[in-house]
Amino acid sequence: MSDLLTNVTDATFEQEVEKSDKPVLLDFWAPWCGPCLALVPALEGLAPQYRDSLKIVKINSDENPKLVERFQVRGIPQLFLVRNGAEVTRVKERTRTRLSIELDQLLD
Amino acid sequence: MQAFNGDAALKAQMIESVRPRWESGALIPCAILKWSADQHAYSLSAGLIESSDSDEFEKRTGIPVEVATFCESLMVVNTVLIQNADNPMGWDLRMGDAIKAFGLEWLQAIRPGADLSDVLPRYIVQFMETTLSPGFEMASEIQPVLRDAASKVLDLWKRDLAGQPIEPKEWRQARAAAVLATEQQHSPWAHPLAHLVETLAWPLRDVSKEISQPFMYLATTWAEYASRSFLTEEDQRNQVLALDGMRKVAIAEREPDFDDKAREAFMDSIPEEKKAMYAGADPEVRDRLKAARIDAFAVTVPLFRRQMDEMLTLIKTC
Repeated sequence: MSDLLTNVTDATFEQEVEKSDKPVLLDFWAPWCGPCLALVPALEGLAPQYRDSLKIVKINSDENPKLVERFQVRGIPQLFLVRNGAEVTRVKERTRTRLSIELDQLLD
Repeated sequence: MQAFNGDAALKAQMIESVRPRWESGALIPCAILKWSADQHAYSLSAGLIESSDSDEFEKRTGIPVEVATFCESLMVVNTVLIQNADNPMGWDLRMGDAIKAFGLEWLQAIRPGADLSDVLPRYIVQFMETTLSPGFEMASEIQPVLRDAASKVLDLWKRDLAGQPIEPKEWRQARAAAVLATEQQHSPWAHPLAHLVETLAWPLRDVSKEISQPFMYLATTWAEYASRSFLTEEDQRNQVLALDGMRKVAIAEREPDFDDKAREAFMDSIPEEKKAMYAGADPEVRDRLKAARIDAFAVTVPLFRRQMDEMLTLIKTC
């Protein structure tokens, strides 16, 4: 797991996400999921760029059923933008370039 | 990172250890480090350390793994594997002599102690200039919207590598133009260029490990375009349909819920393209395409040998 991306669990969600002073991008993933692993370099590349405006966290969907239920995750990878613990929107794009454009629009 | 950890004796020892296996065909070019006894597949770069571990490779050779695998990718585009049960490896490797020579040339070109981390960013700038030149084989396939987007990105790459300041807004505008170009560029031949421009619309040093994949897609398509006349009319039609199918699948894949089931349904919705994309699974067609690729070495080897020579020049200047 990259140091650039925080690992969040059912137990740490409140502290890391709900109490975050910045919007948070949630990445639901699992270690057996190829597309999830393919997404990691894009997220790692974006993390420094958005250091001041966005926190990016990863949530292992196998190990955190409460969060999977709360966000009604039906497939992975699945990205959500969250402010004050509440979902703002589901983030659609998957490549670094398109994710960046979508995030810029959402954060403006 | 210092190439061969600054040790000329280590360089000589490593190169000499792979030379006989490379010359005999026991080592092959591969776009990834490959050292697999199960698959009887061993790549040239992995042969330097007899392992496919990337961290170990960089630690022991002092060569960025993306530079090594990129050099091998240049050879892969011009390599054909022919199954041969009489060969202990199970196949014969066909490539032009000028291509095969590059396998050891790029290693020999490295100065012990050199920092090779800027080789790929500098190479891709030169390569983009080639693709945007009027003499580029696929020039007529590149629509103005893509040419403009690629030129914008190329300008930012050059300024960034020259150490000039670039406002974040300039990158954002270039990325928006690149995405628009991907949407509006409809020639299947130019889609790989649009994909490369969009994927790499960032400071190149930040994405140097990601250069190889879009480059390979474009380089393979470039080689196919240059060698179309070696195919039958039917195979040429299938080639265009297959490329267009790949373009359509790439667009469909952007949907968040595009899983294996959705892919299957999507493929069924483009039957002509699907048929063309799977045409190579027919042994007769596959053998015919391989024979055509070998015949086309007359055209593709000089093209890619020029790219290899540019790479050698960059390596030597480090």
